[in-house]
Amino acid sequence: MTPPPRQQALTYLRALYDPEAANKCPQRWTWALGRGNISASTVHRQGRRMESVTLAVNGTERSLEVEPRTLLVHALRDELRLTGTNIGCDSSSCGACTVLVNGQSAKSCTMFAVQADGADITTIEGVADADGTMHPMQQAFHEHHALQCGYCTPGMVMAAISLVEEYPELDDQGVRHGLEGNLCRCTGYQNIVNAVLAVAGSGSDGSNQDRE
Amino acid sequence: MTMTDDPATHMGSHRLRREDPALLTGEAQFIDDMSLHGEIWVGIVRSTEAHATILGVDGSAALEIDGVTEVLSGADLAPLWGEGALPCAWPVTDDMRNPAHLPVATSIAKYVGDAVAVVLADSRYAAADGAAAVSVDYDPLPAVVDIEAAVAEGAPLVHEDLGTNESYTWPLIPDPDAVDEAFANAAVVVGERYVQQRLIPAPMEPRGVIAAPGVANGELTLYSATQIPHILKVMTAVTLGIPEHKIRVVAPSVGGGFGCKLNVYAEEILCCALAMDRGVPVRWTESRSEAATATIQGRGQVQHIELAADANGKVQAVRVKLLADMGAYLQLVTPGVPLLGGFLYHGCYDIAHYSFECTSVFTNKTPTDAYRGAGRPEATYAIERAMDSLAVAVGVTPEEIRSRNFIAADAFPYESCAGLIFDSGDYQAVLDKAVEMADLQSVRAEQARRRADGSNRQIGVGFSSYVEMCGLAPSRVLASLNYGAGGWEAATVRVLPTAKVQVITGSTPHGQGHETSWSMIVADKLGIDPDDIEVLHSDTAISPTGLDTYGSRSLSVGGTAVFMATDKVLDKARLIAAHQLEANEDDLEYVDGAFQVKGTPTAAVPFAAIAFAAFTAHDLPDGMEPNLEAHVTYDPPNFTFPNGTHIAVVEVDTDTGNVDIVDYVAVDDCGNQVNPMIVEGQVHGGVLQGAAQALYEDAVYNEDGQIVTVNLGDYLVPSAAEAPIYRVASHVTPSPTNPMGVKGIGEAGTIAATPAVINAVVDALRPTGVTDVTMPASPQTVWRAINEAQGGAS
Repeated sequence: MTPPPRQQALTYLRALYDPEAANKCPQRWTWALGRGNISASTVHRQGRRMESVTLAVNGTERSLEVEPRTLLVHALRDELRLTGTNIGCDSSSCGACTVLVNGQSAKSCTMFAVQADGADITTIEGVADADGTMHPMQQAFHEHHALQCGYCTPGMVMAAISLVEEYPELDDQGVRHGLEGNLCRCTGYQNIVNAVLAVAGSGSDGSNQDRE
Repeated sequence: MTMTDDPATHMGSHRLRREDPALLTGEAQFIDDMSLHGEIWVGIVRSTEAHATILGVDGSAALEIDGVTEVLSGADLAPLWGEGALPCAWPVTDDMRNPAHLPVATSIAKYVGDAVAVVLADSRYAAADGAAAVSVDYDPLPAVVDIEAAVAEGAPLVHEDLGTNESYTWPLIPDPDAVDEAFANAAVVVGERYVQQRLIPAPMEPRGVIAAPGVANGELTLYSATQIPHILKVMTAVTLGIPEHKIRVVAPSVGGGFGCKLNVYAEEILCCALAMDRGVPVRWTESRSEAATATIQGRGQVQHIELAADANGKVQAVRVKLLADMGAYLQLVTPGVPLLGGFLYHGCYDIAHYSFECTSVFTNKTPTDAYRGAGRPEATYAIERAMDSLAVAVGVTPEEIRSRNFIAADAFPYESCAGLIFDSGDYQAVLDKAVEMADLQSVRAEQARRRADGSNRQIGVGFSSYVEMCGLAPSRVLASLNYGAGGWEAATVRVLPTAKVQVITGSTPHGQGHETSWSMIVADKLGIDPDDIEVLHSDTAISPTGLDTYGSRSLSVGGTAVFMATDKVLDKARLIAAHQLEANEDDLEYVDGAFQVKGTPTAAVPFAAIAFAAFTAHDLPDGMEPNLEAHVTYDPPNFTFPNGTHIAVVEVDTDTGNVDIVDYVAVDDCGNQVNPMIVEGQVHGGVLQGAAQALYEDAVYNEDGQIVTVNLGDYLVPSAAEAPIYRVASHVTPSPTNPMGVKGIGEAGTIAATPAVINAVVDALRPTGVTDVTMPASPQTVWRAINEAQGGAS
């Protein structure tokens, strides 16, 4: 079992500043840490130093210029106008901004856009089929009433997709601990857990079998 | 439990939500997803002092930051709102003290987070950088933090000019002599003091505002993450003097509210005033850390409750004295929140005599206001904790003490000692069902075994039987409480020429699924597919009339308006059908979406034909207006009274103080249910919010008035790992107050869960000598309670 996401985030952040910690970092982070150095394509605009970043977002290569301190989530939302990824906090606590970076879930507020240079990013806008058919996880959330206001939902769905891919055999506690880094204020989580278990256990079968 | 057993109907079915796809795919547009051409960003400089004179604001460093265009102090901004101050719509008494509350403070900061200056910038980052770079010179004043200290002799004053920290005292004592007599003659008296800690509402979406001026015509569009676009429109007009017909308010997708978006905030007035002044869109997005002090908090009370009972534990009188924390200012309904509980401190019990008195006080903290349940969770907590103490005093089980005192099922409509008329219920049946589901016998057997073994994992069972007043509210009753608005709700049902239907509702959803539920109501009545019905809301240009969403009112008031407007449409359709069939309208029946002469399905006029006939108007009855559309404004004749019994089973580690909820049973009576799936979802989320008050959440201030729990790392909104598994059931007694027999479910879980969990913790700790645990019952708090009870040091 990997450490819970909150701890993962902390490990990652420490590694940004401490080469020794970086050596202990999971393999999955090395791509990001390796790209922590600012690339050569620096320009200045209106007195602000800007960096060129190229991301493969939802399968499409996108180039943009950002300040070095621009968070990935702000680059996605404000520069690329992919506003499905939401922001719910400023302490990497809530998980609303979770996306997939090179296939792994990451809170997009925990990294700078420049660190994602060259990475494959998948956001909530990129998980449904081209014909609009929802991803099995989206469908399961729908069928299990696993969302109310829907604000945490994109991040929750992305974290759940990653969790199920990483741990195909999940039980109730596994889902609960696996999604510990994603907060929801509306649902009380039970229907979210049931939705994720439905996908983990039986592919996309999301029938409601959890009721009294 | 469904409204009907007919499988062909939608009401009562687990219909999946039509809101979901947009939210699941990222298509839904929340306030911060919007972007307007030419917009400028507002960054707010907030007081770092709980109470201080503002000596000066120095924006020079901020102005050197690229993108920062202006730094404005409260004094600079004052001309924008002139005499206008943020509104409080609920002056509960004629002599209530309500200090003027400016959007940005000019001379004295009254709480940490109070806005003291504003930065304008060309980007999100520049606004944040600029706000951080502004230097404010403060001369600190003594701060009042604790509410009991605030009313002590010689306490520093939050508002020097008022001469007191008290805002108002509100008594509800129908017969004082009878109460005194009941206490004098009581065989058993229980007296308890409870503290309702302050809570941070923390919807997952922080607040946000964009104000866009229409320069040519003096118009203003306000986009806000609000629960109350309609009320906000009126209040913006009143506060800023903008003609109301020039204002449009839009609530886009709103990411939860829980009461904290039921307000008129400084940032809304500020952005509107700046937009009108500068002629450009002005926007602000709240950060989570900002929300800890810039958005209202909930609860914040010290409660004294006494019960006078006979030797059998039958309660004769309840006496409550409340100290309620208003914070530094009165926001929209701040003073009314404790009073919403003030009618319910006798709980679901048949108690003859009632005495309630609330004194509300100012402190140098963020204002309080409505938070899920608003007054009723506090009342329920006090009576349900006290009933458990009474059970111990009398020597009976918690379920027995409740049974001995419940309002009987045949007593409805029941006139309460606080002067309400309860609509319907069978509280004993609800409790019996919960007891059965919880398998109480086995749990108690396991509890006895662990007690006998001296186990360090003690089991506790906690009951909470609640009743709440919902369906806010009969306008005349609100008048008697000095509330500044009515309690009605509006709906329009518009049949289009092609027989598609638009439903326009004045209720403003932010997660409750109105679009799904309203379409189910109308579909059943019209006999058409719910997917042929669009539900429009949350934009005062589309839905001009409404009073929005709070107090579990949407279905019982807004849904009823929709129900009645659909009836009105059918009444007119019936006249058109009778005209076409050359029949008497009384001889017609509406079956499967068509009018027919009773028992004669061969001659039927389908709904689609009537819709088109109403549109063409070629052959309508004499004098009938074309088109098929009806508007209803429904003012409920009474509140509704949802009720239920929840049972929490906890396991307490007596070595560490850790509490786990190992079982949670909820049986609720919210009347008839339109969509039981949505009802269950409301119960789940509500229960976790209530349990979170019991175990995790606390807006902690230090003695200087500095808030300690600023972000979601410190303020413990529970995750899935902490959440229990809920076992949920219903018992239905339809409310006779409205035609659908519905009551409301939005706040029930939050109201019930807090005392259920704490009663369970106290029950678990009974062998250790603990009789009370303060909230939140964190491991440290529980461990200390055990240690103190056993004579150890804390």
